[in-house]
Amino acid sequence: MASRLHHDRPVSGLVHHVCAAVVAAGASTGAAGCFYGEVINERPSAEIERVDTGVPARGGSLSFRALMDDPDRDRVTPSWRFEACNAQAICAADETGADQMFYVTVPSLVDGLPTVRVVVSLGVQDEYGAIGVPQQRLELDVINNAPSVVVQRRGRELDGAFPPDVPITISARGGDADGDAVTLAWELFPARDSVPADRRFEALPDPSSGGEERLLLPDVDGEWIVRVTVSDAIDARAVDLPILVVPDQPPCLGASDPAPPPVGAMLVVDQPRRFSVLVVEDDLDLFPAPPPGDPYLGAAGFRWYLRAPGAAAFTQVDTGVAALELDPAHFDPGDRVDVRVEIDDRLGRTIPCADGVATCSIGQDACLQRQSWAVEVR
Amino acid sequence: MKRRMPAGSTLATAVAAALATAACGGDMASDDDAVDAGGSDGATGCSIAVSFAPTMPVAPATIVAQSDVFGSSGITTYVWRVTLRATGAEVPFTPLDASSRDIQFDAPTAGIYDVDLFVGAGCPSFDGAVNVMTPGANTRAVRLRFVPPASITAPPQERIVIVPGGADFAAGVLTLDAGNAYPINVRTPTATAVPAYVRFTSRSTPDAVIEGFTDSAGNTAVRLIPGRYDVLVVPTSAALAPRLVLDWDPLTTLITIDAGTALGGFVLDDAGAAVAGARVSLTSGGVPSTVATTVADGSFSLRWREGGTIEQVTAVPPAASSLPRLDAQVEIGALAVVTVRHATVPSSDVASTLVRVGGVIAASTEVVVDLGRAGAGTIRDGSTILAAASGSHRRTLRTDAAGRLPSARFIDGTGAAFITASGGPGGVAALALPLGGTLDAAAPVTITGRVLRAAGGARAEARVRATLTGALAHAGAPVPVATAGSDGSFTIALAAGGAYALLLIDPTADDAARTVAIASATAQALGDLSLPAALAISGEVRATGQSVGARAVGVAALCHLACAGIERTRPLGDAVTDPAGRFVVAVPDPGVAQ
Repeated sequence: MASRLHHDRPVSGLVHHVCAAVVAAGASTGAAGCFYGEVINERPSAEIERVDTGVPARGGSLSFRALMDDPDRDRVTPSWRFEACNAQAICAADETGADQMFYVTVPSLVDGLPTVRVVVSLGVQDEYGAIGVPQQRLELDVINNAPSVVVQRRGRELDGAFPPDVPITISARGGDADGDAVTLAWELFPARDSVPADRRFEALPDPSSGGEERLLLPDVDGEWIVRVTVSDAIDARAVDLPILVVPDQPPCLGASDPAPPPVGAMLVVDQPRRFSVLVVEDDLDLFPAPPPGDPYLGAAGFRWYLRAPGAAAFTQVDTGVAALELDPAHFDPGDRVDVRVEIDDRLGRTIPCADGVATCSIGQDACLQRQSWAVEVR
Repeated sequence: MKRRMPAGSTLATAVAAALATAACGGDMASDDDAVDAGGSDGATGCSIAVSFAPTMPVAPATIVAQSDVFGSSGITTYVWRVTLRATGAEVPFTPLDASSRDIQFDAPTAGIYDVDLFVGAGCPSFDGAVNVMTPGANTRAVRLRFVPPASITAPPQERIVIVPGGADFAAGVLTLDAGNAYPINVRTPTATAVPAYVRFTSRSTPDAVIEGFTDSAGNTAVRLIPGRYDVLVVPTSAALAPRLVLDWDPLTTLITIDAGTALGGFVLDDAGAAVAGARVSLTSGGVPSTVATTVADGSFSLRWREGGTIEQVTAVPPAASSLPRLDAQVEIGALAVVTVRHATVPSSDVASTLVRVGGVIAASTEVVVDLGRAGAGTIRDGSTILAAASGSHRRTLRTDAAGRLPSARFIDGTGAAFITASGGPGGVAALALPLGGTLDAAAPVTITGRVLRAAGGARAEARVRATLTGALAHAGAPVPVATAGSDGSFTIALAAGGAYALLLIDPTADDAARTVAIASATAQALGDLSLPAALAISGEVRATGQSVGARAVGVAALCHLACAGIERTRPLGDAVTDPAGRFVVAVPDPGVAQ
């Protein structure tokens, strides 16, 4: 027998009169009739599904979906509620909603204290007023976003290293995704041979761009570490900034004009020609020279040489300038002349190469202190 | 005013009178009225363009800045910041619409006004500048020469900017043209490889010369900015004539070099005897020939190519010879054989000549002898004299411990000698051979002066550097230097009678350098020497396709007009780009019309 009666559970407040046809199975003559009884509207049910992934965090976003069901296939309306609680179990209801999807932002603070837990509640009710029980409740622990800090350094950095006795400015800027106030703590781990009285590590006025700055004046070479610890009063995070301090490095020839010819080739000079070094890279002694009066930086030194036609050795012809002019009128067509420049810094280094070697590097690397141009006069 | 997308101009020659610039992805506009520039980010595809009106504001001016944002991915908010670079002071502005998309600000004084715009929405900020000119500003064309380090794939290149006087100038973002690596192949008509020196002179920026060297297979790859070039090819082989290829297209790849025209002949001394070991060469239309060396019978054979109507023929005798170098201008034309004949001219040996400077014996020192004489030889076609040749000697001798010259024979001509007296500026002595046993140079002379700042007042600690010029200039000549005192006054000793260029340098670089020419040094007071005012040209250099600056690029500011020869290579100011690609170079201020 088919019936539309629902009688597996009571439905409060609803009485339906139902007419049902009863047909005797196999009867040769049909017999129809109605009977009356109370219909029962069944309760809807629901579950909370968290849609987003990841660990709930202060200041973070959460999203939920209501998975609703009604045995009667009635229209069901959700009722959301969101509470955030602090460590003292003080909770504040922040959000409500009546859509299938529920989006909330976890407050960073509840009653002035960090949020540690959130509670999402979901109730449902069908169009006839039946309420799903029990109400769904989801409790989630909330983590604190650790503060972050960006630490930067600036100074006479060359190839990742700094010279001693020249200030290095270290900037640190803390941040916190939760919006908590952060504090910075500075520690210095000097190189092994550093003498406290000879080094400086002191606060500078806070930069207008925010954060804090320290001045480090390393007194010896070695590996120095500046540790900056940022704290938001809940969590702390330390960042180490290694600073490699190396002895004053040899200067390096940069761009020059003209470019030196390859070995065995000769530049043809048929009109006055200026041989110039445009750039000397160095940790301390530069070209073009830094502004005068700089307490730490200086100007690179130049020594220019010429090997006259037929001469065996080079002769120094000028110093202190970045260029040498060669006038072919002072020579004869077919003359072979060699122009050479050597650079130096405040240490007065010795070029370790024989006179006949066109290029030379103290460090035997790509950093050259000597460069030569072979020239044919026409 | 016009709106447009960020320009993609490169560092080709262009008159960049554009007075508004940006430092955020866009290139400095190269046309003369474009003032917009943009900030863009290749990663996000977002860009900002800001245009200014008027395009060439003159103080006092009211300037409208209009922004366009392209490709933003969110809500666009407009946050402007305007500052006067010279003082760093913020300049108030007025939004021209509710969203502040466009603004207007007053520029009461000349200078660089930095304009920054932040729009959020994942878009990089716009950092630009507008140059506000001084009323009546003179202008000066300045070549900015950029020489990238080896780490940047770009050839040396130049850009011309028109700098108005009276205020600093922002040149904006200057993008290095990476050019292309063109394969070059130098061959003979029979496809034989030619090792050679190859010089490419751009037709658009002729000062930015690129040089290369082909290998034994005749190949090289030269990075050039696309365009037309005049190419000088000087083969290593003396059997092939150098060639100047005009208006060459780099896509051509192949350069053909042949033997050119043969010119043979003999070099004979005044007695008609063969001179062996002499080097004979000529230039025609600025193109050199090969350099031929005479053999035992004095004969030579060089290869050349006619480039003009008159050729400059040079015959240099061997080093041990007392014969002079001969120079003559002659029309070779179709001649296949010429004779270089030394004339009979008296000569003298300077052996044991006592050399003194100011009466003091110049012992163990170098003496540069430079003298000449007309009619020292002839260029002949058989017995026909085609041209007279002048004779010259330029040799460096060294005195002995007694201050006496070694044996060296010179034609009896006139000229001068520079005596490098130890520790001093040296001496200049007029020469007229034969000498009378002594070569006396006057004692050094003292020159005084006072260096003043452009704005008035003494320029303390100005540096003074005197470089020998003229016929006696030579590498290794003493370079007297001095430093001005606190009142700007200086004293410097120079070789009496010497020609000098006196370079006055402001150590603070507040003012530009000044060169004072001294034709013949005598004891004199130069008086007050005011340095020219300087202004700063600033900019940012980027490699092609980069949104950040290029470091360690050499930047030289060079004169563009009213200079020639080596003066075109002497920088008015130089700089190097910092890690952010920025540079500041000081040049003389063109000033303001009175």
